[in-house]
Amino acid sequence: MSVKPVAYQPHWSDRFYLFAVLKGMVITLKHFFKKKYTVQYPEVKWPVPKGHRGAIRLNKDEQGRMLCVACEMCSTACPAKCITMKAAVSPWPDREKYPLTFEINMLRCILCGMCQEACPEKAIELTEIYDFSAYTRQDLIWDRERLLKNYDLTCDGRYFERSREETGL
Amino acid sequence: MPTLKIDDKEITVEPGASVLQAALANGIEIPHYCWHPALSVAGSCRLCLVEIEGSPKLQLSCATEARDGMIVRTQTESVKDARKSMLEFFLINHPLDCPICDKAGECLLQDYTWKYGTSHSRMVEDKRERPTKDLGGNILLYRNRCVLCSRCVRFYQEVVGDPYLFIEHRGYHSDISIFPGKGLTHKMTGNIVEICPVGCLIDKDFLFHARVWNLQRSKSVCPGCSSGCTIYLEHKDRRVFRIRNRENPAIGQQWICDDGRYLYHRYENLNRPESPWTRQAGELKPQTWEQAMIYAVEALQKNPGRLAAIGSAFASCEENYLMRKIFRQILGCEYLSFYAPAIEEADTVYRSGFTIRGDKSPNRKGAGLLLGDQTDFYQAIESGRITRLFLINGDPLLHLTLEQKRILAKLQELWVLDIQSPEWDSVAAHFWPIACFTETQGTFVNAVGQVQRFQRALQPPQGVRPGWEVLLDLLARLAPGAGMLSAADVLDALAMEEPAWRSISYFKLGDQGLPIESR
Amino acid sequence: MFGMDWIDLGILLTKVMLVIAVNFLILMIMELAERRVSAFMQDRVGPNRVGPFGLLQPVADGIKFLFKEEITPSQVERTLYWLAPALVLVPALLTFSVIPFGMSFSAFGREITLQIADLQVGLLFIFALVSLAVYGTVLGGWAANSKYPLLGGLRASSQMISYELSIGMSIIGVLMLVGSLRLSEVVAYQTGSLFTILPRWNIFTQPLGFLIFLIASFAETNRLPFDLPETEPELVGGYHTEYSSMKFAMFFMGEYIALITTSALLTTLFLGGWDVPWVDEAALGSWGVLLSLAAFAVKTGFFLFLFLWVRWTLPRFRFDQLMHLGWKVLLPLAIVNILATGLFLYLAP
Ligand code: SF4
Ligand code: SF4
Ligand code: SF4
Ligand code: SF4
Ligand code: FES
Repeated sequence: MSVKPVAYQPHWSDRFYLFAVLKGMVITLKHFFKKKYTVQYPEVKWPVPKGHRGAIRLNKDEQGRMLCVACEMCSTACPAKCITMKAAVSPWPDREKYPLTFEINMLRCILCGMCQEACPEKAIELTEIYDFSAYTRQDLIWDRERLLKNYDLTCDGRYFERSREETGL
Repeated sequence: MPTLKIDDKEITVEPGASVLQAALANGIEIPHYCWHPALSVAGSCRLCLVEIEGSPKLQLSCATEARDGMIVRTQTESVKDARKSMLEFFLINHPLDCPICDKAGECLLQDYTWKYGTSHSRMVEDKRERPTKDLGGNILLYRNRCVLCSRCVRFYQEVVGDPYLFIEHRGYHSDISIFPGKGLTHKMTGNIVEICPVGCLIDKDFLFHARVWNLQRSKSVCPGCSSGCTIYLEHKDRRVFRIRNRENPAIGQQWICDDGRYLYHRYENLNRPESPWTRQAGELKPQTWEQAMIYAVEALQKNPGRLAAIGSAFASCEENYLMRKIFRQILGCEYLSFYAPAIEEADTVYRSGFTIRGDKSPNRKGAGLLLGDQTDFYQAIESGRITRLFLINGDPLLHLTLEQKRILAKLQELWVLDIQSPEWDSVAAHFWPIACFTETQGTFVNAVGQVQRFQRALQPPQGVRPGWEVLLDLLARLAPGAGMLSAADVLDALAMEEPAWRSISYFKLGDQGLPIESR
Repeated sequence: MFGMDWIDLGILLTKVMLVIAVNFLILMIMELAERRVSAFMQDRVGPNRVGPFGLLQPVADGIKFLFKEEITPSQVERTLYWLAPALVLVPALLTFSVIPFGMSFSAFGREITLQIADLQVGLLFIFALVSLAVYGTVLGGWAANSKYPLLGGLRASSQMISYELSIGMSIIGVLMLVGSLRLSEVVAYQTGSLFTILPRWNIFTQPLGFLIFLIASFAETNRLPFDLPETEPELVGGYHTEYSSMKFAMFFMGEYIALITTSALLTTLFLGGWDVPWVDEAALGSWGVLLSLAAFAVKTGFFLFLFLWVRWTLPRFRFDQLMHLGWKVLLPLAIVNILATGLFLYLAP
């Protein structure tokens, strides 16, 4: 398809400005009375679409034990190098290794999801939680317990609904 | 000498070498498990199959002697097919638990399956499961992972000379085992973990501590005995995680003993001050290095007649040389000697010739060459010949007897450079914390006179400096213009002065080291 | 002095205080309105957290301004740097003193005009003050001794000169009709009706003058689309880049007060001031006074909203476009307007 270049030829009324200005003002005035899209954030949380890559969680099995076996695949895959862990012999008979400490530096994390891709145990996942700012840097270095708590918050897929119920909005 | 062709490459080898050796020596990879350069040929894994022109079936390259005019192919369809099938067999009962296997990352089963194997399994039956066994010592046997290469078995037969391990049952039921009532309780166990091509033999000392690909390696020399086996210090996050054998044909030591393998623990949790201290009115007062140096420069120059300097068989040649330079050449001390622990046991020699020496210091020879014979300086103190002493140590196991402490207390002034302070708290007047062997660099001369270099793996803690750097600092203050800036410069200066070290430098030492010239 | 007694003085002071208080109240409302209106025009809701409907937002802002760190850059010309914000704020407030904002009534046995000072030269006085306001901007930009403020100050001065001319010329038409510079007379002239249905407001007799005045006042008050002296994309913050805390707030307030004054002036000159069309306020007694005040407020409010409305509708002009508009369009039109008015007066006395 050939493209024919056309020079912009303003209509005389456009060149007069005033009509164009009035037209613009009518548009803004219409918007003035239109429906507002603002979400009242802390009370109402916008539910993100499926597949959103937010805060990281460590998954648990049916017995509430963490699934992670401390293989360090995630930390190896992580481009930001923000996962560190210390492995140990696990206290459970059905597996050998588990993470004694597991730390994600969310200050460094770029929420790319590589860890989730790399995990052979489906033990680490990114969740729909996007509101996880903190007042100190230390608060954003998440340990094992914090990551497991994220699982409790999101495992039923009702994170946003629950937050709405809690605030009653 | 036979000349053969492997994959269209002309190769000439020593008579008696196998096809596998010929290929490996020329950069052609043939996968193999049971063959190991230091062990006899077993021909049991059947992974090293190659096509040899003239023979109807594929041949084991490890068990076939290279002959003149042979034409070998390693990349034909039938060879690839055979490898693939063999690897599939290896994997039928293999748990594939790489994520929690300490070998992952340096595992030959992983590497070969990745390169030559299939990506899926046709095994639909349940895998055989065998519980993990503790073989005693630091060794765990993950029986599910074994590929039955028998390297471990042959190691005990041929290197140690004591058949601890054997293969129990035959065929499908074959299983590595240990004689009833026996455990692996001698000093060579760690080596089987290294030679095991898969993650079947696992070291408890390293179990789950780190993934191998995260470790950095530094070339070093074991300070455990005067054999001076070459090692790798594998470290991460300012901590050594394991020591591995770094083969050095030049000293005839193909393995390392467990003493050396786990010796890095001696250097952990040292009780070390963060700065030099000095004794003032009976109390230990921290000082800056600058203060300590300024004081020492002044005090050492006063009345050097009764001043003595003691080097150490645990200090590097560089440090001992600097001691000599400072105290003999610059200050003119008469009494120079060195510390070395008493030799309390005989050498242990294994069947393969591997020797664990009774001399538990790494540099007795070097210190002796530089500082003269070892003399009993305690006696000299007792007799009043020495009233002030400057001493460097580095032996983490040093222990002073009460008698020794009593004698040392007689000294007017005692400077100690050591890696930890508790032994000296009651006797030294000045203590300077220096880096331990994982944190510094230098050279040792082993029992047979090989000069070998060890490199720094870790950074010394805050306030702690390498011994050579401290001595170099002192030297520069006493006699400005010596022109030495680094450990390499010190070795160069040493090589200029000492005929035995002639033409030795860090660059020339390389990985294997060089022998000192015998007198 | 000037034949005043204590009661006169009291009334005067009350008026002054009242005007200042009301001005600041409107200023606060404007501060909120600016954000709320812009939000609404962009389908948002704007600040609604502080107080009911966010009504206390201006208070929160004020507190924040007070507690912000006060930074005086080391290279500034101190005296002028400190003086400039006041130079913006004070003339803008002063302007209001000559604007009549309601019908006069009698109390305490005397006639009370709802105007602080009914100067004979009210209009000239206003122009004098408006020209003074630009000094604050220019000097602030210059005294900060930094490149962006300097450029902002330069732009302000050339922009003001260009548009002041147009403003001045556009009013001459009104003056010709009214025949007086006294603002109370300008209002009085506009009571009554035109062709019986239209109120006799100058916007109907001087439409072109009104338009020119309106456009030029956007430039005079530094509002978008003519806020070239403080364009954020190119000049960071323009003349107030180096100002912080309360000094910055004073610039800010000065700008809004100028906006209020300009709106009041527009009302007075072109929309009949406090006049309520088709109603004889004088006949209603004190209700008439209130009505006149309300009328004045509504008209001024409309202009204030217009300023916001335009700001959130139009993009910013380029500087050359601005100059082009000022010199080649508005000024000739203003002259034409004068000539046309003169012709009209000549032909139909
Ligand atoms: S999301 Fe990406 S950056 Fe964050 S921890 Fe996972 S791999 Fe690392
Ligand atoms: S990859 Fe999965 S199982 Fe492995 S350490 Fe990370 S979270 Fe744990
Ligand atoms: S032995 Fe090798 S293949 Fe087997 S689990 Fe360990 S790393 Fe994986
Ligand atoms: S334990 Fe390791 S070395 Fe021994 S036979 Fe099995 S795979 Fe080979
Ligand atoms: S290496 Fe040849 S059979 Fe194992």
